[in-house]
Amino acid sequence: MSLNSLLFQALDGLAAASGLFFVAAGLSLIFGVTRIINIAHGSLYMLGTYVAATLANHIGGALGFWGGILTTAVLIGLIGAVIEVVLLRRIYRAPELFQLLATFALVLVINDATLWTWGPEDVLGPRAPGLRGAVEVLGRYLPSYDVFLIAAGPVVLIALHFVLIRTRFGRLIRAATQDREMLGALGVNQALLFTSVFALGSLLSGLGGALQIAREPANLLMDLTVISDAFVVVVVGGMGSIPGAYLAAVVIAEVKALCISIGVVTIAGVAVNVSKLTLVAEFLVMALVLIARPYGLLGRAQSMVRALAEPEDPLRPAGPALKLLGAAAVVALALLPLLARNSPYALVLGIDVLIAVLFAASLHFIMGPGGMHSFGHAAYFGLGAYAAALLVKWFALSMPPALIAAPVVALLGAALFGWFAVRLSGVYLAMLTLAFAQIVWSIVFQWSEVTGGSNGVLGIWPTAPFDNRAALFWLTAALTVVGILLLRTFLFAPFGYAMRAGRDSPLRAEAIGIDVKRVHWIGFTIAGAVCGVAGGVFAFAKGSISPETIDVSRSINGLVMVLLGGIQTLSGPIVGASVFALLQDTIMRQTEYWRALLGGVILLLVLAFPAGIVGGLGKLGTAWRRRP
Amino acid sequence: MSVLSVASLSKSFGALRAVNDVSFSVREGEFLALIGPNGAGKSTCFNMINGQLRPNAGEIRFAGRNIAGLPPRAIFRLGVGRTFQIAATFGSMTAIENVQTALISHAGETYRFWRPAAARHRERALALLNQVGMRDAALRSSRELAYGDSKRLEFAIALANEPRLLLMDEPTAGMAPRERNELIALVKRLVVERKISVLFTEHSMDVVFAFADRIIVMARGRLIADGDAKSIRENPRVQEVYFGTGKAFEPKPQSAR
Repeated sequence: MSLNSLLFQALDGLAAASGLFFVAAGLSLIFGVTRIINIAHGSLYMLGTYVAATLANHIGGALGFWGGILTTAVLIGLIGAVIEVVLLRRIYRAPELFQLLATFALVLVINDATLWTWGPEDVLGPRAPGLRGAVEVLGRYLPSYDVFLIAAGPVVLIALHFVLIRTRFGRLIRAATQDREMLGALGVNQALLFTSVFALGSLLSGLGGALQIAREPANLLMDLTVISDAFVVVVVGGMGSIPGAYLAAVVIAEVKALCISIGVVTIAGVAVNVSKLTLVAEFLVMALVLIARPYGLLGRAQSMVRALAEPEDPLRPAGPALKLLGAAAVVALALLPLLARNSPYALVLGIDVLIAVLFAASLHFIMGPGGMHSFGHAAYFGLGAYAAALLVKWFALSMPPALIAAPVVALLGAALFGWFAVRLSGVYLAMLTLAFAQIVWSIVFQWSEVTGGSNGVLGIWPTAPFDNRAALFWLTAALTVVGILLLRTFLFAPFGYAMRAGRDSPLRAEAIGIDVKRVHWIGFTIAGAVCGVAGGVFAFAKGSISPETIDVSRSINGLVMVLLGGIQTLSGPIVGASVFALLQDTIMRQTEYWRALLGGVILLLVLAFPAGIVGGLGKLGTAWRRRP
Repeated sequence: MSVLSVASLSKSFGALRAVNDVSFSVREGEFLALIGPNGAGKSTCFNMINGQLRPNAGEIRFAGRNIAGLPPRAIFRLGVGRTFQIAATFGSMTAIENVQTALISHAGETYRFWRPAAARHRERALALLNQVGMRDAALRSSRELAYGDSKRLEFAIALANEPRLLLMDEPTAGMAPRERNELIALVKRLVVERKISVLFTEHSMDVVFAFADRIIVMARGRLIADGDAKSIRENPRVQEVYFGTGKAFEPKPQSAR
């Protein structure tokens, strides 16, 4: 590796940083003002790439390309405004995470709308008119378009900075970021402000996407890749800080460029391919930054958002009705294999639902009573699944010891990651857990000699006596029921009270002698172990696992299940996971556009039951009892 | 004999010396008020004693050991209870569960995973609630309580570790005058019964002069007076920091027309 090639890669990194910056800046603005974590932000970027590529191809020439890019940015900004007015405005008062659920539903809908409009093939844009050539730099050729992008980043940064510092609109944005309640009290029209900020953020995202057409083809995977990159940039830079977003975008793009240019190095006789680190580099950077500077490079401690959501009712032990219902559910589970002799699929689906329930219940344990919103719960599922599978593959272990190893390995992983995670809170905790999950995913994906890489591990079949569907179902049911009862017992025990105390008022909890971080760390570890059981069973139920089983979408599915059921009730995750798994199954078999349908159903539920299904039913029950 | 003794305590924020070489002590069973105008350094001083801030210099001795720089939970373990300026209770729990959680922590049972918390220390929690007049509200969710009742509940929580010293940061802030006197009278009665020493900050002078055994006064980071109600009332330096020198009210010299 020569110095020249290193510098050249660094320039390439700067070009990539600009695109990243546009998306991240929009995300950061929107979060700062509305406190909504807009997962659909990446979808708007993807849409921008599709629209701009189409305009450039159809109109052609400089007008089609450059005019198309500007038109696209404005169009995406308008779409953002419509989304804000039609959907998000209705749920600003819902719990913070519920809004997340709604934006996730949008991701699903937009993805399928794109598939419907443009089809599954990638759409390639033309090369930029006027910038088709290349500039000779350091004896190599850098595309002129990259030079343009390198300059575009700082230009937009300066423009945004000017808007934020000098204009009234910018002052309102900064004021809302610091204390939106105060701003409302001063008589500022918040609805208008929120809509315009949402439009501006979406415009930036659309612009970022549109500018990519000369660099990469538009494809349907862009939405989630871009959003996870953008999250990392925002968190590393510091929430709400625009210069921070640019700095972070540059740092991350440069670290990636560095990894590529270093290539293979030999450390102590072992060849390490550093370029493979690119997948995990940004998450490593994020983990390091968050550990050293919990609020990002240029971020400040978040101002407290006064809770808008309804606080939680005290936990009540199960009454006779709930106990009866629970017993009936257990009996039904025990009888299902006998009743479903003629429909083997019922058992397959049943096992899927049970695994989802255990997964969601373990996530709820830390999300609800612990107040720790993990965005990377798939990591512990994956650790459990891979621990079991690899022990079977490499050590020819039988099923029972492999299933015991699953939670142990997940517990160790959760203890390690959790130790760092509990030092943060809110969005930062969410992003750090996501980073850890991505690190686990990357290791699994790249360490192909051991994990089988993208092919995964095949042939993990249950051994006797669990080698038939019915027995496997009973085992899964037993583990799920025991797991849920254990978590429930912990929540009613002093430990659970201490965990909720730490969530309700850390100040008060510390003042009565509770070590909040330690309690939350232990809670995180317990949840990881229980989740590992679900992962272990999953490996045997499917017979094979691949990195796909532990990617971001599983973590997000977990969040959706918990929120769908209702985060404030103990039975919420059970209902939410069952409904989600069944919906996914039924819808998936009905149509090619299952994502859009699922998204639509979630949106309906969000608008109709802002407290989740169980919470909503509880409210209906209360209203019924109080009727005149 | 003093329960708490503070010696040469100092804390700076940047160039601001918020607390500057402050020394005082709280005697056994004493009801000591720390007063001073806004920005005098009361809260900073208070937060160093309760463990939320680490002092730059000085010693805080409680029960014979230096507690400066210990975290709040360690200070609780040594026998210090506290209440906050804005009542802090656990909103997702009932009143009795709030007290039980404190009792569980005091008994060292936080890391128990089996027997339900609701069954632990129930009688003791009820007795504490009874003492602060909250027995009837035991099963109510603490977030539904009226503010005055939250303060009472917080007081019950603060008594759970059988403290030798109680730190109360503006115990009557945000309360109506009548409620205010009732609460302080209740606190005074209970601490006298239990021989608990109390250090409290307070803005209501009625409360301070009526109930405090002794008063210390801070201004601009320094301790400027120490004495009983009468001597503080007559202290010219105290009058000066609270009311100014009086010169503001004198007729201004007529400027030349």
